Amino acid sequence: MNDKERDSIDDLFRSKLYDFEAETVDSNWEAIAGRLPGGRSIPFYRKAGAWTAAAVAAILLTISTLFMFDTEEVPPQIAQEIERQTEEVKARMEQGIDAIPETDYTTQSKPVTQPVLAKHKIEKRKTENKTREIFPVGKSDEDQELKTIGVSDDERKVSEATSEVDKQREEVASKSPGNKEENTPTLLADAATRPAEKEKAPRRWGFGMGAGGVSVGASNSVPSYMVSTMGLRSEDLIFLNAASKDKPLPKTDIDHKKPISFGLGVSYYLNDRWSLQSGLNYSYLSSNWNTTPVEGGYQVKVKQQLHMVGIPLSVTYKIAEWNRFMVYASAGVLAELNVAGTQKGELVRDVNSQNVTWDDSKKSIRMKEPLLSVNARAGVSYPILRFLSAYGEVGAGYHFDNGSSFMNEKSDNPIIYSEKPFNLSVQLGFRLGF
Amino acid sequence: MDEKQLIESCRKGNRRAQKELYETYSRKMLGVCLRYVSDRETARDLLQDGFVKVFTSLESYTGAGSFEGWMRKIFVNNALEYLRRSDVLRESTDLDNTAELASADNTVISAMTAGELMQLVHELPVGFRTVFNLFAIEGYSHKEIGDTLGITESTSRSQYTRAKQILQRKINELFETNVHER
Repeated sequence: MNDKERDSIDDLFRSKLYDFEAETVDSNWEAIAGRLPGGRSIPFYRKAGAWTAAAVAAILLTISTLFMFDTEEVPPQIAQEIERQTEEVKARMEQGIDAIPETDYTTQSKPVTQPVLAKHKIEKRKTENKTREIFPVGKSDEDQELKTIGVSDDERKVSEATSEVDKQREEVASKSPGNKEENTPTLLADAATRPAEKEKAPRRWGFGMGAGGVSVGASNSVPSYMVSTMGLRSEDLIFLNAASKDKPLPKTDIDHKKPISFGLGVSYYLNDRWSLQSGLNYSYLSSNWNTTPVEGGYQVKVKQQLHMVGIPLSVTYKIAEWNRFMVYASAGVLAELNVAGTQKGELVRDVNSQNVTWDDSKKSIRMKEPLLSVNARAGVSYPILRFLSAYGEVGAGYHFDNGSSFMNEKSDNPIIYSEKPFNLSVQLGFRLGF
Repeated sequence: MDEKQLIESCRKGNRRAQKELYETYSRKMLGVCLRYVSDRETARDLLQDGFVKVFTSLESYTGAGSFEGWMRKIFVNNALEYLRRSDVLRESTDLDNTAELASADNTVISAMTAGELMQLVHELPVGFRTVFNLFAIEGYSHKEIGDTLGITESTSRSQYTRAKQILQRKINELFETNVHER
């Protein structure tokens, strides 16, 4: 320091301003704490909400998985009994013994209860001479001759079929134990069961690849607000306002682009309707903001890009299938990690001044904390080719605050989820299935 | 808890200790930031940046010199980083065209409050204000200012001279205004 150049005025300014103090606000400390290692302190209600949602999702997944594994088809009692009887008959026939044994119900541990069946009284229809009253053409007795409109032939056919059915039923009824009433008609379901067809092994594993790019929802544009944190805090970006020192800071307009994502999936089919899905997801997050130039000032344009890779885990339920269209619903969780990111700043001097300079800077940024989210979707898929199907999904998701500065909308690197943690999305894409 | 224990706790990441350190020095450091940027929002951002750097680089504080002085350097450097790429600082002032002004009366300055003087500093163009802060208040030499800001020593000197003249003019105007009001 050259003391000779300093005068009394300098000393006076130094004495009064060296220890000058200004009042701070509480949000300053919160912002600082959030940027320190260990993360930003998250309010308890957010933590509780996040844990509650995660616990509910885990419980639902567990219950649905257990339920699905525990579900076994219980054959109807009647079919079991008939099958047992049929096996006995076969065995006896092979041995040359009387096919139908005398059944001693007193020895049975479980009495065979007569299944409750709908009993239909089959009315044998009279044919040919029977006329059916359809349209009375007159009031007099002579005019009571009624027309039959081609009914006789049909009735004949029906009656023939009905009598055939009657015969079959009587045969079945005679074989069915405990059926004392010989003429009691029973349903065809009581007939001897066919030998069970060999069931094909259910498909358990499936692989798929899907892509989706369109995401719609509430507007992501943020109205202009005070800027300085956005582009100016960066070491490489400066804002100067030499001429308009008394004017307020220029404002920025933040524009978060809709996330673009696609992924590779694998499915495990629990049964015909339920399946577990996982895989690998990639998401691209892009945000822009800039300052509004003021007279004699500078404009800063910032562009931020983040590349996220995530692992989803979800449960899918096939609601319905019609004409090859499959309607399904899905719910699950997604854990994402930021693998790479850049923030590019562009310093532009006000074009009104004589000198116009450009200063570009680019730096790497990365969110170290994992980003968790839950989602629910409903969609329709349609197979196009043997291994290719098109799908469309509508879904909703919620991204939890992980304490990172990226999830703080007032930081210098906010992402879309810092302002819109809940978002709706529409996805269209193709899936490869094997 | 004395300062040594407080610093040690902060090194270990104790959030309560960090908050206590912040509450001890935040007002003064905000004052430092306000001397370099006129806007309070920007100053708060610099304050946050500065404390983050303080807490993350506590290991580099060896105990030599006062802790406040060490912190102050971090905040000044942080503010200068913010202004580092300013082309305004490279603009040289044509001293020949600068009219000589009568020096402001020291008694007038002595009677002014810190807030009033701060307001005068805020009204300086940013380049002049930066150099004036570094030279008159922080005690940097023009050579050190030149090395820090990437400007020549003569530019630093001219910026400081210009800043002084503006301040003197404003002080004289204030003084004359006060005299007329009486």
